[in-house]
Amino acid sequence: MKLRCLGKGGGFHFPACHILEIDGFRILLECPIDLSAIAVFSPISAVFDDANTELINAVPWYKTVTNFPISDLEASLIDVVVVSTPSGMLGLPFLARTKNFSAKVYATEVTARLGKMAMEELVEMHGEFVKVYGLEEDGCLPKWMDMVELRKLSLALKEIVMGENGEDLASWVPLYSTEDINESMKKFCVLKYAEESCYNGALILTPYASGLEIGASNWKISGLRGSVTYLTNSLFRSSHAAKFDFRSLQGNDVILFSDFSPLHENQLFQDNENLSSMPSRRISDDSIDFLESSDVDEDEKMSFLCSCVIDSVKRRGSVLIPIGQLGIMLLLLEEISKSLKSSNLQVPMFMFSPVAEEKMGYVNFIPEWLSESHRQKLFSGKPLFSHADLFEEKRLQLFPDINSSDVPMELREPCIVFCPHWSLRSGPVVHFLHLWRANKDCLLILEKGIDADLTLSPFTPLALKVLQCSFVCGITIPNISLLLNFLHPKLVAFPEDLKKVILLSKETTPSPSSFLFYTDNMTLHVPKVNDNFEAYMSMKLASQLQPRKLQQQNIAIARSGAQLSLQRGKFFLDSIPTPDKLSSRKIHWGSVDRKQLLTALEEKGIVVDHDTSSLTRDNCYNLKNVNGSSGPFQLHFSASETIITGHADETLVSIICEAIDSAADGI
Amino acid sequence: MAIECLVLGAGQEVGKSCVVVTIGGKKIMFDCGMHMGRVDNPYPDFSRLSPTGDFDNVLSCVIITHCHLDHVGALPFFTQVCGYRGPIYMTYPTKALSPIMLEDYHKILTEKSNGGEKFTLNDVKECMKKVIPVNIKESVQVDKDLQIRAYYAGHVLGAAMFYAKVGESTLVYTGDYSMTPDRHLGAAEIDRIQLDLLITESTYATTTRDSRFALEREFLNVVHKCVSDGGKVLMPTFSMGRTQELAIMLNDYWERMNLKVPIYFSAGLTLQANVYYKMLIGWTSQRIKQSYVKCNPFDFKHVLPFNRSYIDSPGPCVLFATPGMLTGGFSLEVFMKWAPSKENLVILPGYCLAGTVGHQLMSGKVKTINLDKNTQIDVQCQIHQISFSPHTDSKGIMDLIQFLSPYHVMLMHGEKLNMEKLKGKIQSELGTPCYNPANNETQDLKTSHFHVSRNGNVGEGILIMEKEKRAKFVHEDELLQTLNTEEHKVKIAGCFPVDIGKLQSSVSSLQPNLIEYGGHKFSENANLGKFNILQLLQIKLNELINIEIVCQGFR
Ligand SMILES: [Zn+2]
Ligand SMILES: [Zn+2]
Repeated sequence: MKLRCLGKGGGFHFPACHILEIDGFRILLECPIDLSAIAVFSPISAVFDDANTELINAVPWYKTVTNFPISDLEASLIDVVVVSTPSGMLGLPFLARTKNFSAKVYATEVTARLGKMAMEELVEMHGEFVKVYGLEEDGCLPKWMDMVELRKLSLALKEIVMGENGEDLASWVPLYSTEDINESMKKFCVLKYAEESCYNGALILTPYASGLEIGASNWKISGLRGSVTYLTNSLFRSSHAAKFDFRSLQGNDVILFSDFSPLHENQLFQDNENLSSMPSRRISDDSIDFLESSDVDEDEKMSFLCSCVIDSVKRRGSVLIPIGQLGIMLLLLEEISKSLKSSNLQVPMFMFSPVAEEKMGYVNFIPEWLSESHRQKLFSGKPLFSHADLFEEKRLQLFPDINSSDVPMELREPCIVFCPHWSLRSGPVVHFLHLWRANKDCLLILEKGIDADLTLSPFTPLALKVLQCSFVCGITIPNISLLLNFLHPKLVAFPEDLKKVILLSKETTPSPSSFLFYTDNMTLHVPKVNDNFEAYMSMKLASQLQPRKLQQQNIAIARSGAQLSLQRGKFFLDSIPTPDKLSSRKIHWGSVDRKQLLTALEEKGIVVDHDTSSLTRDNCYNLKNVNGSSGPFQLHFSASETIITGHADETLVSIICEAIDSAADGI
Repeated sequence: MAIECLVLGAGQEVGKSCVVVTIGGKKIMFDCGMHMGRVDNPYPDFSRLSPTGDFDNVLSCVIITHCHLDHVGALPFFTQVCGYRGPIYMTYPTKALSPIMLEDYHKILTEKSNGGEKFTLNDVKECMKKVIPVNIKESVQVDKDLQIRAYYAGHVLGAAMFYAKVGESTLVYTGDYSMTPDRHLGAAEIDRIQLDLLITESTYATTTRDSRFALEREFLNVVHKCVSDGGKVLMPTFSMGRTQELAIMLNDYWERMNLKVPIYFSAGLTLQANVYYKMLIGWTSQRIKQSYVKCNPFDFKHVLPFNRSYIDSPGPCVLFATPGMLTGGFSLEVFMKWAPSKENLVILPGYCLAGTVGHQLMSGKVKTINLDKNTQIDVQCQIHQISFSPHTDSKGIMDLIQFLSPYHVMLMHGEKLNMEKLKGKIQSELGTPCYNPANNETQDLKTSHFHVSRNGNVGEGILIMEKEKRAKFVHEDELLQTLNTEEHKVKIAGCFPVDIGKLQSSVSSLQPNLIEYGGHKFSENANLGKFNILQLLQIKLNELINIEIVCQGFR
């Protein structure tokens, strides 16, 4: 098994990406786009005369993972793509449009559907740029990629565009089309949680809830020589999504640990220092105690956000929420509408997105994918999300975009607007930022992980209040080693960048597993965890066996012919039509029990010839056949062989061999 | 390996489906239904399962296929009265819809107030709390050895076939299913899995139905004709399933034909059911799922709630009333009022159990129905039986058996005579052993373990079986290493005469430039005698004894 990390990603919207080779199959784990990089392009806004002009004025290209297998050849070598979250599939059409791309893509039903919506949203918003700049010419590099132009970029932008040594330049690609999306969706094999799917008769892929987002998953990938847990960002406590199903991952041989959230959260050092002093609440989950230090904070964060929103609207300022995480957005919607109600405020809420209607409708009929509390709503006959009521009461209105015909000419302000895109470069958010940026009573809520300075630079000077909030989106550090101990793998492939984390926690709780550390773009050879393959034997074959007990009393062996076949990742051994045609080669081992040998020979009429006893030494017997003609002959013994010399004809030799057979282990 | 099936219900009949299968040492109860036609003895005889009533240690789990009462009706009784506390599995929709069906039924029983109810509404609630919901195709590990998985079955929202596996022993219990999609549900869908046993329903064991389209048109025409003649249409249905399917059809038809005659749902219940349907769109047909974004197909534009006072108001209308089969309650009340009028119409949407009023109506030209000693209903109205059904027909059953090709088939949920015919057909046409045990009978089945397709590689090796360890199959070259031992060779050193007499002469008679011997060519060497005698000897020896002899170092 081999592992190559193509990129450690960057938070919720840009998951890490790997290539895993197992049993000769090449699996691409995630296929993301680094959407934060489109910050280098300026938003469409002819209106901003005073805008920062440092950004690139062009139809944006999109940045994939640095070492992404984007060439026709590399893409054609991929057998399987595994996708865990909608962000993990945004780059898929880039692969799907290469020649000879024939991989099968595995994702949960919900991830595939939400991911498709995200791609459509992206294409739709991208269209705004095309409208302004016109279509790009096919097959030639855009002007901004010219070396001369690139040199003009500021240091910060150059770093994003080119990477440290220019290696990132090749990872920029023009966006795909709606047809590309539809084409790539045909490659999908969509699954439910805990649904086993078989690739090529050999690999079994099974997604289990990761708790990160509705439909998000970790994976069990079972090969012929053992099973791998592909562990992505996971949340023990999730407000909307089905909870992290870590139990189903127990006992797999290898864990590919790919939750980089501690790295992006910058909690690495600060948390380690106060590991013991952290206010922790132990949530007992049967036998395991996971530290849920964060959930209290999360609730606090949410209520703080709501209070800020209420403050704004009370001061007649509008609120702009370009949050990309579906779960967070749903939670905000729910909490804000509750706060509004309790404060007795009649503030309208709007949602602008080409897929708003589809998305909000969709989450209302996927109870199986939601958290326990939402499932309970199904069983008691209440709508899964309160936004169904909000529509009915007209407190929340959905529009495909700001120009759609049913949008009222003047939105009643103050209002609360949910809209894409969190990168603040395209989509309705740009329009609203124009509108409200100078109003100090307005509020903009951003996700963490966004370079706020760069992202907001085209909108300066800003008067509106900006709130950047961070939500936990992975396994928190204290839980990592607890989880790994519970899962009990033989091997863990762990990011080198997080080595400190695991070494530190290993001191407190020694882990039974061995660790390997991987770094970007280096191939890690994962040693075999099982030397043997597992196979099932049919009753028929078992009944045909003629086992023989060895001198070690607890072992029996049998020679057998069998038919070997592979079905759904399992080997089966069945009987063959002519089982008697087995090899006749005799193998013996160990030592020969001489006493037993002589007794056996005696029974066949072969005795020690005492006439020539002078020749009989410790390691050599003279033997003769009492009633036969052939002989005399000698048996020479040594630790590793028995040699028959003298006049022995074929029958005699076979008699001797039989006797040796009974006096030594052999088959 | 053997599988044992104890049939506690739906053996050679329809009603109180319940079979307990013992597979690989695990006991699984499939369905826990009640017999609606029988008030005195509606439940399976659970005492046969455990005379002491200790069900928790006997059963590994209970699996319910769908929300119809003949499949879930006895569950509250079994958990709350008999005291079963082990795991219960059903799909999400079944868990959501079953309580409605059970409460619906409970209402009828209390209306009849003959003490027939053996559980309370609270029992229903408590019972449903214990249910573990599962998704289609989700592999659920009940315990270390037992794995179960649901497959889509059509029939009614949330209906599932269940697959169970212990070791390499496997079976599928279908529950009720349909092999063709209808207005709101898809057709049954299952993987091709190796099965020891398939237990299938056989409601329509001998019927092959016409195209669905024609049957649906016939239904719509009958309804249309009745209302245009000023008649009232009564559809006694249960709140789930049929109602939504027929309402979608009528709603579409009304829209298309621009009809203004009112369509009513009887009080609250069915409207409540629609709230569930809206959350469970993921379990409906592909067509509905796709149309959802635009409008919710369960918001029926032409359907209004019914008010009791409308019973006697004049003019045509269509009324969906619960319960189905006219077993009592509101639908029977309306029936008593409407039956005596010739222009009215009663639609029987599905199978009616023996002993119900619906069943009497189905069986032919009944003119009077004796409800009890004092009540007689004069039946003048038209009766129409809907012939499209959410159950598979015999062709569908045969198709499924052929697709799965299990080693054994067991028929349940059907009428005895029809089952016999189907059984004969399965045995003769498909060559699969088939059984249809009656209630309270036990069927023992022998199973061969797995059978492998004949396309594997044939090989040979040595199987090492060590006590308390997994057996290991090795190549003979690996054997000694695996056993951690050295080979003991048995060699034979023989002495025998070899005739090399002609060797000398053959050498002397050679051509000067070329020595040819036994097909080997040697180029001439200046020092022929010294060099080649030994080599020639080697070749000769090689010919005589079939062992490779290495000749080296002779130069
Ligand atoms: Zn049914
Ligand atoms: Zn049934």
